[in-house]
Amino acid sequence: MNSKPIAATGLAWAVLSLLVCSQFTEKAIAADPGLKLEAQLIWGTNDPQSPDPSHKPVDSDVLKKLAALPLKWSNYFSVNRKGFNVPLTTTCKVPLSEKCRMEVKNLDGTRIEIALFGRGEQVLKRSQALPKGEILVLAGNAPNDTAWLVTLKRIE
Amino acid sequence: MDYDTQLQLQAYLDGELPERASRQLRVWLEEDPEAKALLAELENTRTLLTHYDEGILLPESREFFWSKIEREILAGRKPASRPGRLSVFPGLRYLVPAGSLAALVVATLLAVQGSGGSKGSEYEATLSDPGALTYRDYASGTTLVWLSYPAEHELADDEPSD
Amino acid sequence: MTECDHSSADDQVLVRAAQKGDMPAFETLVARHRDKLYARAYSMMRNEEEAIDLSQEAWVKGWQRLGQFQGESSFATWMTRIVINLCLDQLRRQKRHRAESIEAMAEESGGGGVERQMPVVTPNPTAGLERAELRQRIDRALNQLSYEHRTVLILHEFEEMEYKAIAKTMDCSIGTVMSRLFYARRKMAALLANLKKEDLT
Repeated sequence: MNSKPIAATGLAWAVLSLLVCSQFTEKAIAADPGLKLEAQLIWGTNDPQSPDPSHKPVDSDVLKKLAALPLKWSNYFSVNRKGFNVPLTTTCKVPLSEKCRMEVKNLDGTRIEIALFGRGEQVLKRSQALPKGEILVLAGNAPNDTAWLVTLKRIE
Repeated sequence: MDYDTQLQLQAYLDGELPERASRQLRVWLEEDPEAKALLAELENTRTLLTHYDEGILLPESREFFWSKIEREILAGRKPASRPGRLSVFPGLRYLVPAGSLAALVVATLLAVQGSGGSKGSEYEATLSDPGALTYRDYASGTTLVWLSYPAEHELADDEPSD
Repeated sequence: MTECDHSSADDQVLVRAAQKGDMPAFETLVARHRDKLYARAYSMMRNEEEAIDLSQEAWVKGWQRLGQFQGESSFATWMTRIVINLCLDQLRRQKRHRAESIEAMAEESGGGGVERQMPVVTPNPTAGLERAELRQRIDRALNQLSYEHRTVLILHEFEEMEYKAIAKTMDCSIGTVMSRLFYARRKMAALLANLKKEDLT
């Protein structure tokens, strides 16, 4: 029995299949640009300046959004800022500080799942849509009557 | 000491053991230091909890508290069944100075009452995390999730240092 | 019109008057027992606003059910049972599972609970602590219990209910009550174990 032609045919089919799949995969990847997001760790205070000179006041568009919220602080300083891309059905880990990180999963191209961690422990998990132009703010109390805030928005 | 024995010890402390079993246990306690120590720990915890809620006072004035009850009674309404949401304004004391609170309450009530598709703002509490209060401002496209943990929480150390 | 002064009347008298529709008498009962009822609701719910809402609801229910109060227990106890049941209903609706459900499942399955292996703790209960500070620490520790464990602890330690009554209130077996109570006590002991005066100065 001559098995070589059978093996060769099988191999050819396998190679052809891979080529086809990779074409589809490449197209799929090209079709899914992922979600471009920006996360920012912010310090909220009524002090006019941050004791850390590297912390600049937040951009005006973020400030405008924060001003619309029922928060009692008038000044917000950017502690850290990260831009990242989250492909479809992928989870990105975004460290924002030594103790704080965020994990963002792109659920379906418009909805995301966010998990917030403090010292390794999950403090919040939430799913929601995040359309362009909108912002999600996670926040809580910080010492000395200040606040920590983590913002997430889509960027072009 | 096995688990059933530990529970027996607890039942003895709580006066839930029948007399005969209590007598046997007392004999055993005399001879087993581990059991004695566990009993002491359980008793200590009970002591610590004594009078725990004495001094917890209702944080509303007599008149204000009663007026809401009286209104419900006179209306003859049965208390509304609770859909599993927190009352509308928990955690607000963290968000606004007390002086603005009344104005915000009224404004938000109006906004919530007026909603039903209309833009405004609303509060909700997520069942999955009772420590979180969500505030949504439709006009600015902003969602705030406020985590009402104390300032010593894990995330709070990111305050800039001097 | 003559107004009655209810402030010196005992509960029995006030209840009888309220059962006849005397609202001021009921208001006096509310004023007299509102802190206790609120404290119970707060200890269970761990949330001020919820505790206020539920204690108000309990008072309204109390008024509506006054005809059913026969005096087998004290009025305060009767009202406390109403607020406890309201709190339990609310807690069940909220279904605060999270990590608590893992503890509950481990317990229900009879698996080796952590409380069985915990080293015995010998806290010094008084250690110069002021009551307010002690209450704060207990508050924080109670917050770390699941609502099932916390409720069993509260019903037993504060309401002095027997295992059987707790089981009926919580709709579970006596065995479950015993193991939850044991877990709650041991966990509280561990959480409160490092109560030292110097930590609080």
